[in-house]
Amino acid sequence: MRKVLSIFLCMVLACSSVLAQNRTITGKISDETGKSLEGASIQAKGSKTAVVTKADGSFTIQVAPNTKTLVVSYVGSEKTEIALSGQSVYTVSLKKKADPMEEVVVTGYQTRKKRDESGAISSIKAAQIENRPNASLDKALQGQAAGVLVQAANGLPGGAINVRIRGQGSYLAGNDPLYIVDGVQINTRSDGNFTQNNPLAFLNPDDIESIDILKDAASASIYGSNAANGVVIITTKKGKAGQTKFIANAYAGSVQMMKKLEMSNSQEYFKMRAEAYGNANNLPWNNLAVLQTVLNELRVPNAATLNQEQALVIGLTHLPTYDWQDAAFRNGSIQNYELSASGGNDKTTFRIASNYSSQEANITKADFKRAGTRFDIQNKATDRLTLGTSINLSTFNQNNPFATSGSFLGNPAFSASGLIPVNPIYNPNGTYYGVPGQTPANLIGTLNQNIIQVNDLNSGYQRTNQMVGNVNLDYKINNWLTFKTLVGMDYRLTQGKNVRDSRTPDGFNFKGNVFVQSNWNTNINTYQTLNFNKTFGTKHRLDGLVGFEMRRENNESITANGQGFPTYQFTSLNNAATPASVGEFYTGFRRNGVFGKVNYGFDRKYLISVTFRRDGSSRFGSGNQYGIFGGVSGAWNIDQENFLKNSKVISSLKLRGSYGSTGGDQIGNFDALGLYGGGGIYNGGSGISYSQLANPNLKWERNITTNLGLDFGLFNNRVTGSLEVYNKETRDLLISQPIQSSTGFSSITSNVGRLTNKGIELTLGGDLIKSTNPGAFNWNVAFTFAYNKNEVKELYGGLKILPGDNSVQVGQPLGVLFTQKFAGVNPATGRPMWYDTLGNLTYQVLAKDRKIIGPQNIPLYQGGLRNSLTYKNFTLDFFFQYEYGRYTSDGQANFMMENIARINVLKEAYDNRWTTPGQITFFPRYHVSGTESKGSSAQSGSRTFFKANYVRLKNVSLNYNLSPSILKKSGLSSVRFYVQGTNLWTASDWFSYDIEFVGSATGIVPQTKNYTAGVQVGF
Amino acid sequence: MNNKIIFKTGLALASLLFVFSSCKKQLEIEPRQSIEATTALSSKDAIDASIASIYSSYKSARLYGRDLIAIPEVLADNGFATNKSGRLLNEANNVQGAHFTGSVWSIAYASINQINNTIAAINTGGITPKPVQADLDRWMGQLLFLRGLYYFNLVEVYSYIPGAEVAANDKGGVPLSVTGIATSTDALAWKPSRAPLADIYAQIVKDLVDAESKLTFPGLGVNLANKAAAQALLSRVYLYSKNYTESKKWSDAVITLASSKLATTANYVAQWRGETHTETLFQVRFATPAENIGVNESLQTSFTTLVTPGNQASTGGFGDVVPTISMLNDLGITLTGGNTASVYALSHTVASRSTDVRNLMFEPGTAGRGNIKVECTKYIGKNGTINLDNIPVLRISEAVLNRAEARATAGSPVLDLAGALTDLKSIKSRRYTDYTGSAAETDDNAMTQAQLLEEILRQRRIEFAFEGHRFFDLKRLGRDLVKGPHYNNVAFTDTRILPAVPQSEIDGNPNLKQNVGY
Repeated sequence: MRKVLSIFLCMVLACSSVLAQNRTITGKISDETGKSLEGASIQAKGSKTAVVTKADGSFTIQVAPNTKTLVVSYVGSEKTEIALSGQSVYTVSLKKKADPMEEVVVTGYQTRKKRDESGAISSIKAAQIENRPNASLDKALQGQAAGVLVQAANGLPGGAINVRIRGQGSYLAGNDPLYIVDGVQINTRSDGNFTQNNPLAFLNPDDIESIDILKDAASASIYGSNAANGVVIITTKKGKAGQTKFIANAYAGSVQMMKKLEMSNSQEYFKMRAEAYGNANNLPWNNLAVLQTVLNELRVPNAATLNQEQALVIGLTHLPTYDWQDAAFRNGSIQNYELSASGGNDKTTFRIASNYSSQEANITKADFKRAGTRFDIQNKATDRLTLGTSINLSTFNQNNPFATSGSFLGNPAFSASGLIPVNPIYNPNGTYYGVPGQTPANLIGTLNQNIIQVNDLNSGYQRTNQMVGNVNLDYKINNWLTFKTLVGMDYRLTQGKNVRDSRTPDGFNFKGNVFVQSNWNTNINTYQTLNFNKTFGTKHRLDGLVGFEMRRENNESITANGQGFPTYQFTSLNNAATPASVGEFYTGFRRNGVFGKVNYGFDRKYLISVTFRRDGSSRFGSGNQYGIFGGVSGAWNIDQENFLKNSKVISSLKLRGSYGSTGGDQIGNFDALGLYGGGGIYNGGSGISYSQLANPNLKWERNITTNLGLDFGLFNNRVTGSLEVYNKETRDLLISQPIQSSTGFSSITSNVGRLTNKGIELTLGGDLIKSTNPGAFNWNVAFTFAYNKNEVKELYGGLKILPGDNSVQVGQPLGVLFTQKFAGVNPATGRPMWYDTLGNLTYQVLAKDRKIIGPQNIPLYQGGLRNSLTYKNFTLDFFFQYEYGRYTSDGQANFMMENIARINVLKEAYDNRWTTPGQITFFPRYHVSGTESKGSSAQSGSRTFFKANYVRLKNVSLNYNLSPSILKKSGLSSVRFYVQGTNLWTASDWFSYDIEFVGSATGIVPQTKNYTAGVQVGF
Repeated sequence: MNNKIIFKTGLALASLLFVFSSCKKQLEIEPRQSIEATTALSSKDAIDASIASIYSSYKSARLYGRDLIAIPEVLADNGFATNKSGRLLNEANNVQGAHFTGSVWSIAYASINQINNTIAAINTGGITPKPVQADLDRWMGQLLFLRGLYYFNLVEVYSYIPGAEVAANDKGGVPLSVTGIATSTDALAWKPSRAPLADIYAQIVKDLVDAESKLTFPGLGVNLANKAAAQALLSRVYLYSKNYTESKKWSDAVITLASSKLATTANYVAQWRGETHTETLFQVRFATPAENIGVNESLQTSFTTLVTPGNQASTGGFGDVVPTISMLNDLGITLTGGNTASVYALSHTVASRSTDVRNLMFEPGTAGRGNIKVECTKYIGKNGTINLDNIPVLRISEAVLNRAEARATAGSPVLDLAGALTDLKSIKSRRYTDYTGSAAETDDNAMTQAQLLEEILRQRRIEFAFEGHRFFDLKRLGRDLVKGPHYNNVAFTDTRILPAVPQSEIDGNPNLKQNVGY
């Protein structure tokens, strides 16, 4: 249609130029709501002819006959062009100009406009995280905000996520930020015994309206004690007045292995094992005794009677290879269904949303199923009184994998790659090979459990029922003073059961081994605030609040273990012959605080705000329970100054600065106390022992942050961005201070240390291609970059290295890799070598040879790049994330590159092993003991650490919105189709399953590739 | 409602809450599975429970649960590491640093501090109900016995043994404290140096002599400290420190008290299959499933793949450590294909056995973890469940062999070759089914002093095979570790005889000297 119009237009213009006469154009200009705009300027494009609209929005302009376009501009609105056609009367409604500075951000206990806010706050909107196959919201934050590092610990759906805002600010105290969902402080304990349970999985990420991350101390200090690691404020979607809107959304897809490891085959395994025996016994690998030994191990019948030729033929050609990875890994499915209704009238608004989500891991039997319902109701009881409640009910059920991580023989994620490939999976009759009660009763090799049987027969689940809700009340005392109160509760019951089936190796000798767990966590917080907001004259504006908050959390659990079941069909503890153990556990904490904040703004140009909070925590010594925190921040909206008001280049510019302190108390709930606890049992009696020394001096850890920020918008806000520079200093660092263990204790929790995090964060966004024509091609990019340098500044007693943990060193980042440097394999002997203190080569590492290799915990640089392309009704989003500058060791890979040949190794390791003098390689010769005589293990020192840099295409999504004309006919208000892909591509030379993990990757369920397709319908 | 009223109410409510917030009570919360330390040891039950915890620590896999039994076998010449789980491989290879770990240090000192604090609590007299003399004797007898044994464990592991030091490598004993640490101030101030070896041995003897005088036999039974156990330990401590007169004296005492417990060829096997070996004077007891160390590190799994003796069809543990060829030779076991070891990794079964009943504790394991090896079955789930075994620490036969050695060692003040031979025969006649009247007995009668001593030591090796004696016996005698044909030998002068003191202790305390080579 549009095309036809423009062709027509061209024709008309072509004609008019021939006529060469002035034309009179009239029209009317209004805003989006239809209100007439006075003073809008109308200009003939390419000429100086211009007029302004009258009070009723009307205008009349004379233009040259060759004028094709009129340009309409109005303060605060987007510049719009009118393509002139044959007619002479035009009515135009102007779109309000998108001004990022006028967006609302949620700060502590307040919502404010970005222009009025002086702290460092990152905001994420619903559109950025919608419809991703993420079980929990923390995963959705990945790469979205500068300086917020999100690392998945593994690929378990609903599994643990590591979130660090501006580096690692603490050693002993936790580094997790404070999460607040609609005013409720969420407990971040993970209390599941049998599979990981992510405390944030209760909320369907699609119910989130916005996430605001308070990064600097001045913003966060309103949350005082809990805020040392930043605050993540989550606001859920709410109802709006109007006709009730229904939105149904469904997507489904597949979970696939990102990478299968290329392992050695049975022939290669045979040869490496023979070399391992040969090298250890100073014999050639093809020595008959060696060959017989290996074939005998591999269960070749009558191996001891073979001659050398026969043995070689069998070993190098006859052994079958079975692919255990193919058997253990699967393609899982993802399904997600949501239905919401929202609406209301001018008194009451509501939103009700339900969701069901199911996600399978790519390995049996791990999965995650969640059903949830949310209710949000707001009611204006009177002009002054508003009542509201939000309640989120959810239940999620997870099938346990055999193990969530670790080198357990039955753990398929661990063993599938390392199993000696000559092991069959099934017997010829279809039953499992190598299981207890048969001959043979296990598999060949160190990894001797049939993981397929183990995972098929073992069972277990973990069910979490969680209620997070709040009741809130706002009372407008007068036009500038409001009293707000909120009572929130986060109640969670986690129950689980784990069955080691009596037919599997771990249950066989016990005749079944069953564990159950029940854990309940009650977390209540409430706050009351008086919020004020007053304007004096036309330019002075004062707003802020004073308030009080308290929080209490209790956590209790009971566990039991029974053994000896009559048959495998019985798994209830009722049927156990032996009640092997019972347990009960309790912990909890209390906090309270008073706080206040005052923001003063002059003419929306000059802003200053002051924050104060006094907090108490039950975790500290009786004399030190209270800490005082606060901050000052200021900002200058330079763009409001006259000299910039009419700038064509700079459309917004703001300079911010802040200084403030926050506190940390994420230590054990009772770390300050001197305690006697359980001391084991002996001879039928239960013991007690001195478990912890008192530290009455234990006090708050304090983070002092200085932050400088610059927010800018250029070329009509076509390019926007912000730059932050910060220095976060942690004083009174909570450290588990090692003491001489000859005291009978290993450490006490103390405040003895200082560290800093210094960094730069950059957020850049812009329209690479922007068309004023609706439906034309647009390309928007958003880029985040963060650099953080962590440094330990001081330890107690002048110590340079923390005794007991040499990854804590003055002048180095926390968790620095301090070990002996690997020097490669001696080309002459095939033995691994390291550098000693003098830089000489040595076979044997000593403590004194350790040196600093590099940072280990947190990358130096990280961020993301989002692209959003729209054309007509299509939107294509793709999002990259990257990390650079840390070393890590992949426990799984370390097993896969051993030189022992006790388990199978990576084909790359086998192909590059040392075999001949003169060979330069990374992989030492095989040796059945792993460690050569008078030498160190090949896995010592820095050999197993590698740079963990990567760029990953995290998400791609393609959306298609049905055009309004079609919708009209169908009676629907919106229809969107979308397809998404997650983890589609990674640039990294990591040689194990996946580079994205935290901690040791040994036996973890690796991250997966996900493909989903869905549809969202509004009616 | 009137605005002003609302305003006032709001303010009042807010200020009320402010006041409430500063109320300290609101921050009060008490732990439940632990109690305040300062008042914990104030009742008789509490003292008993504290003592239970001190015994309980011995169950750790870093102490008698595994390491104090298995590591001396592999460090010395008794144990060959099969690499079936990869455990104890480096210890068997005498890799620098693969030795006893720092946990021996930390667990022993935690127990010693618990003992010291418990003794202090008893001595304050604040215990209710008021203890009678029998209570005090029972408590102090056990606490002093345990302190003696823990210090003995520490010093035998981390230091040389008196009379067998390598001067260049000798850094003395271990830190010594007999007063409890109960505050963080004291703990932070504690920067000890290593006490002289003699001081540690003097303290061990003092504690054990005190304990012996307070304890009775059978008294509390062999799962707990008793008079005979204290005597047997004194006999060992004096033998180690080469005070042969005192060693014989305490051997005499315990043999008088408990020699009837010596097993015979007829009941030897049965004794090892039962929960408690009759010869036991003190053992570490594992009673309930919750105390099970499990399939990775229990002694059963460390030494055998079998679940029950003689049943090769069912695989349980890893069988990480099996007898070396020289150990098999001493045990009188010949493998199929002979006791050669070109590639000791091949499967082996037993071709023939001598008449020594002790070799019946060794039999072929299963094929479940790779090649079949001849394995030790002294720990085979005797307490009813796999991986659950009581672990003998002191047996009466040790006292007999201690006395024999004290009598047979050249230069001993109590040199008595005839007596030594009698002691040796009292063991051999109870172990070889055909010893009495045999040619072997005739040969034994003709032994020189040196030959007699060697035979006593050889019998000691066989008698206590896989019971955690061998490395310490070689170490106290200053002998090299002869590890062929499996591994390279280790000279007594080598730094690998001593383990590292935990590096974190050295890092944090300039007064404490690390052993040489770390």
